[in-house]
Amino acid sequence: MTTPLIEIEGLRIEVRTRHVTMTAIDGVDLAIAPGEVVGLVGESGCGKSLTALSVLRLLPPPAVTIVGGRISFQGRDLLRLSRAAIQDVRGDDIAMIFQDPMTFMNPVFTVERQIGEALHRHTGLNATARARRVRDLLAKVQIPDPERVARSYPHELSGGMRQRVLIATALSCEPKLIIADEPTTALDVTIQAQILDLLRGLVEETGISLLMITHDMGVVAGLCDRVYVMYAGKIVESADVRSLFAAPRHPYTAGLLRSVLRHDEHRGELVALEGNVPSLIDPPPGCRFCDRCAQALDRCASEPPPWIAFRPDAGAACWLYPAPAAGAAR
Amino acid sequence: MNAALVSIEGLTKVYEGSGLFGRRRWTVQAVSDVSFEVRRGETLALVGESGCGKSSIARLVLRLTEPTAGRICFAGEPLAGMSGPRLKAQRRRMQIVFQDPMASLNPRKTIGHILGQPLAFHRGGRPAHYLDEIRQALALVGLTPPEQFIQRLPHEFSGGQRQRIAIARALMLRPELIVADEPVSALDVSIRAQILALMKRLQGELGLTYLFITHDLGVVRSIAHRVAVMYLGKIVEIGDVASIFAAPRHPYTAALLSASPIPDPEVSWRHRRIILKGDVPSPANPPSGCHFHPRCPAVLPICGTVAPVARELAPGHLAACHLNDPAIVGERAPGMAGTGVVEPPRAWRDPPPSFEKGRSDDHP
Repeated sequence: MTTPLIEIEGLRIEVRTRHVTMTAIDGVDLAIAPGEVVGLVGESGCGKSLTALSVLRLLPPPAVTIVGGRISFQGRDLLRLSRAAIQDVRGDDIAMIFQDPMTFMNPVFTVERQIGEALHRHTGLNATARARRVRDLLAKVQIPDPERVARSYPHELSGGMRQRVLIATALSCEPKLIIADEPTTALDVTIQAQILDLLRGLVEETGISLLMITHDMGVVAGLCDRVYVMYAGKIVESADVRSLFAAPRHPYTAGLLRSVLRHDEHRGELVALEGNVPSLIDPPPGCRFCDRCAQALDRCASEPPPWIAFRPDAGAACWLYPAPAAGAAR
Repeated sequence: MNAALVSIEGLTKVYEGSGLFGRRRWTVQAVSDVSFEVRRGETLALVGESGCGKSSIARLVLRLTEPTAGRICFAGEPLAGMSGPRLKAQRRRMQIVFQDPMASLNPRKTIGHILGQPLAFHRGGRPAHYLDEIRQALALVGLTPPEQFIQRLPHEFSGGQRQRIAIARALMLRPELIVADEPVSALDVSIRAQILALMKRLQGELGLTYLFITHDLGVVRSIAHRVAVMYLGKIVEIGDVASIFAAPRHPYTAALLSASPIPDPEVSWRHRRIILKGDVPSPANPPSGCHFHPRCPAVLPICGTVAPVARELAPGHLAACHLNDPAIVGERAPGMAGTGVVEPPRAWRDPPPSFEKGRSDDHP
C-alpha cells in the first residue's frame, strides 16, 4: 500500500456511565490510502461509529473519552491538535456524512445558507461566489433543480434529496477524506442505489478517499476496495473486498457472510450465527468471539488472539492461524 | 394448491384529515383496489418501499382499521360487519408481530405476564394461571430454560431474544395466521437469520400461515413462497418468489431487484444496475395513469394516461404493466425484452483497478 492518507493506531475509547466504565474501542488499527474506499463493517454496538467520530474528535465528553492511540493525518496526530486546529481539519480536510441528514441540518436555514456557512468558514469566497458554488455543488450531486433546492428548507426535501445536500456540504471544501456513517441505511432501496452510485462516481472523479461505515455486506461488496470487520470493539479482520468475500479468514466474518440473506440465490436452509455479542462491561479475557465460534481452541477463551498479518494490508486476529515469522506483525 | 385463508378483493383505504382549523382538507389513498389471497400454510411476502401501503394492508387484514371499500374474508367469512364475541373469536385466530420488540412489549411487565395476558383476555383468569402454557411457548421459541425468563423484564434481553418473546406471545392463542410487520428489520444481520429460521421451523411444526411484510428482498427470498410487490398503494406484480426473482415482468420489480445490493463483489461488480430517477412520489398526490410512469425506464405514451390492469402471465403470476399487453406493444414480443429494463443503458461501474489485480494467494 502507498503511504496512507490517514492511519489510526491503537485507538482506545472508554465509555463511562454513572455505574460502569467500559472500553468500547480496544486497540483499533486502520489505514486509508489516497483515493481508496474503505469499508468498516460490524453489527450495532461494535464500535464502528465511535471509531468514525473519534477521527474528527466529535465524541461527547466526558462520557466518551479517547484514552489511547494515535490518528495520524498528513503527518499530524489529530488527537493532539488544539481545538482550533481540529476545527480547521473538520470540513476542510475531512468531512462527514451521517445516517439521518435531518439531524445534521438546521431546520430553520435554507440549503443555500447551510452549505454557504461551511464555505464561509473554510474558504475566502464572497457572497456571490458562494451562491454560485452552492449551485455548482448541488448540480454535482445530481440534484435536478439546484436553484429551487438551494432556496428550500430541509423539511421541504425528501430523504434522498437531503442526503444529497449533506453530500454536497461535505464536498464543499474539497476534503481529502469523507467519512460516511451508514449514509443509506435510512433510505429506500431504489434511493440507496442512487446515493451509492453518486458516491462511487464522486470518488472516481475527484480522487477523494471514503471511509464507509455500514452494517450491510451488500453495500460493502458494491462500493468498497478494502474492508475492516469489527466485533465487540476490536478489528477482527481486514482484507481487500474480493478476498474477504471469497475467503474470509476470521470465523466471525465467515459466519456473518453465511448468515447474510441474499435475494439472488436460494438457499434451502438458513445458516444463523448463534448466540449474542458479549457485554463490553466485562468482556471475556480471550477472544471476544470465542463463545460463538465453532472452531474455538482451548487458548481462545483465556488469551486474546494476536494480529496475524497475511499481507501488509490484510490480516486477522485469530488463533487459528500460525504466528508469522518475526517482523511481519503490524 | 391450498385453500385461501385470507382473501382480499378490491381493498381500498383512504385516510382523510384536515389542517388546523379544518382548512386544507387532504386525503391519502394508502391502498387502492388491491386483491390477493393468502393460502393456508404459505408465506406471502408484501414488499415495497416506505409509503407503499404494505403496513396499511396488515392493519386492514387484522381489522385494526376499517377499509374504505373492498372485502376481506378470513377462512371464508367476511370480516366486515363482524362484531362483539364473533370478532373476538376470529381475532384469536390471527396475531401480529411488530418490527420493534422494545416498543411492542410493555417494559414494566414481566415476560410471564406478557405471555399470559392473551390467554387471560380470551379465556379469563389471571396471566399467572397459565404457567404451563407460558413455559411451553418459551421452549417453543428457543428460550430455555423457561424459568430464567418468566420473572424478568423485557429490557434484560437482547433484541433477538425480545423478538422471540414477541413471537411467543403471538403463538399463545395457537393462531392460524400471523401477520409479521418487518419482524427482522430492527435486528442485526447475524440475528436476522436466527429469527427467520425460527419462524420457518414454527411454520412447519404448527402449520402457520404468514403474511410477511418487509422491504428487504433477501428476507423475501429466505422465507416466502409467494411475493406481492407494491408501489404507491397498488400491487404491481404477484407470483411465486423463484419465478418473479428470476424474470420480473414489471419494470419496478426489475428495478427493485437490481437496486438491492448483492453481498458478493464478484457478482456485484459485473451486475448491471437500473438506477431509477427521482423519488417515490407522495401517495397524497400520485401520478396519473400508471403510478410508476414518471420513474419508469421503459415508459410508453399510454402509461401517463391509462392505469394498467393486472394480467395473468403464467398460472398465478400477475403483473400490471402495459408492456405485457400484446395489443399495446404491437408486434414486439410482450414483456420487457428490448425495453431497456433488462439491459439498462449503462453498467453500474467497471471494476476498480485493485479488483483486477486479483486476490492474494497467501492463505496460510
